[in-house]
Amino acid sequence: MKERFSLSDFLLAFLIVGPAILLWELSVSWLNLPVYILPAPTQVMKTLAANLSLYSSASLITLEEALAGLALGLIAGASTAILLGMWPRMERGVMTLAILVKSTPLVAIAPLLTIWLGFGLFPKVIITSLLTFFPVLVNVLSGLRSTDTAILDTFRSWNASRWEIFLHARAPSSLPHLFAALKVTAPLALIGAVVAEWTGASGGLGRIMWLAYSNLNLPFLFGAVFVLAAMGITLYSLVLFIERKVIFWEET
Amino acid sequence: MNISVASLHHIFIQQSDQPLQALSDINLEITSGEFVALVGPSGCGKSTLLRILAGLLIATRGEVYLGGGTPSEATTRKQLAWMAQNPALLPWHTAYANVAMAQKINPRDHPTGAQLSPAELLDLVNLEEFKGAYPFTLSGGMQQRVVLARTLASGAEIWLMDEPFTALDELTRESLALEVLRLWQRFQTTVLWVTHSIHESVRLADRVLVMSPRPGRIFAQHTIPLPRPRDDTSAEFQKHVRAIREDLSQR
Repeated sequence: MKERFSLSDFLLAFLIVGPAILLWELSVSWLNLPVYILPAPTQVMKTLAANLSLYSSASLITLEEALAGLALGLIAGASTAILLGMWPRMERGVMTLAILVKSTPLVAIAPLLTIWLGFGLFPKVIITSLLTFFPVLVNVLSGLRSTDTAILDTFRSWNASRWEIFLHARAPSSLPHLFAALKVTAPLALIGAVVAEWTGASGGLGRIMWLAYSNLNLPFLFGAVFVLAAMGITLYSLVLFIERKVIFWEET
Repeated sequence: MNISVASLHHIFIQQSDQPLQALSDINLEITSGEFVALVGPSGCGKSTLLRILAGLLIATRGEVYLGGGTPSEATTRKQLAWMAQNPALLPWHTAYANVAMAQKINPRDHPTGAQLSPAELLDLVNLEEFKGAYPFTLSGGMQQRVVLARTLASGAEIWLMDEPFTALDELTRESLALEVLRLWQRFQTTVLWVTHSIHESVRLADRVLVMSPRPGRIFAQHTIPLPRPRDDTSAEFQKHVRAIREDLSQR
């Protein structure tokens, strides 16, 4: 089988990211930028190190919201796709509703949900699932329809039921598309959680950002951004890793 | 299980062009246990005819009976197997699981091999050592061998084969065709074999039907009484090949 994560891949990633951070560091010192305009990466790291426990407990909250929202969006999106796959006649109606949800600006609903549901976990999970629902729905639906027609003909020649065709042919064929959706939605879920926290939360990285922003404490703000970026990369890599285990029959 | 087709016509309605008459007045009687080849140039409607027999396409007009039932009835009884260039194996299943799937869906007890285990069927097509292999690790020829085992596993008595080995190299194609012959003799199924190779049709079939295009119709047939295995260098073999070639060139 094909070669997976290699050392040179990591090296390449470092070669791209490393100089960018170096340039940032150097331009801050050369241009003498004050810390309330742009803090140097080293200073951000110092702030991070000094407040490690604060950041880690906040990230756990955000991660919990993001994962719960992602799971909910995934279940809702995939079930809707399966429903539409089984009964294509419902597509127009359901898709119109889905697009309506998709095109409603989240910044408009987020504060409302906070007002209705409070400062806890629940409104964040809802926002995140709304954000992740649509990409999952669209991808899984096209995945269910991407099944090789020759395979479908074979199942029909055995007089297989719709359920058997779904279980043995359509569902496995849609898995690569499901993972494509997950690669997009996993980092998106973090954004959803943070945006939801921004509108009012008792904890989380979004709340740290909001507090830092109100005090113009930019190193603190960037610290949260760094943590968020690291979490996003980790989640994405995790999805990639699982994908390569599950979908062993396809090049990715 | 016999195949009977009477005054079959098929017209494709296309949006942009004129309606296309794909098949015109096809009459066909294939007795149970017969191996019949259908030869003709590309676009003569061979595949269309086969798809109609398989119930994948509904004919515009005419009657089609397989073992006394319509194609859809034959499908309900799991009497038909369809084999084409695309092996249509499930890529996420091993060779074994792919063969087992044909028995798992609508299990059917029948002499055609349905009562043999998937392992025995894979032995039968010389894939003893590849039971646990995934299709993407197998060569094209081996994948088609898995399909043969799967076809046997389904228990179908009629094999509709639409140029199944055309995508393979000549050596593999030849050995697989002989494999089909061997399995057909052992399980006494009825085979309709579509091909564009005259040589292949004379090599395999009891009877060769010759088709011409636009509109697709059967205009000649040749019975090949040669005993098997057939020697393709013999004078009689060549005589049949020549006769079919002459038929085709006159059109």
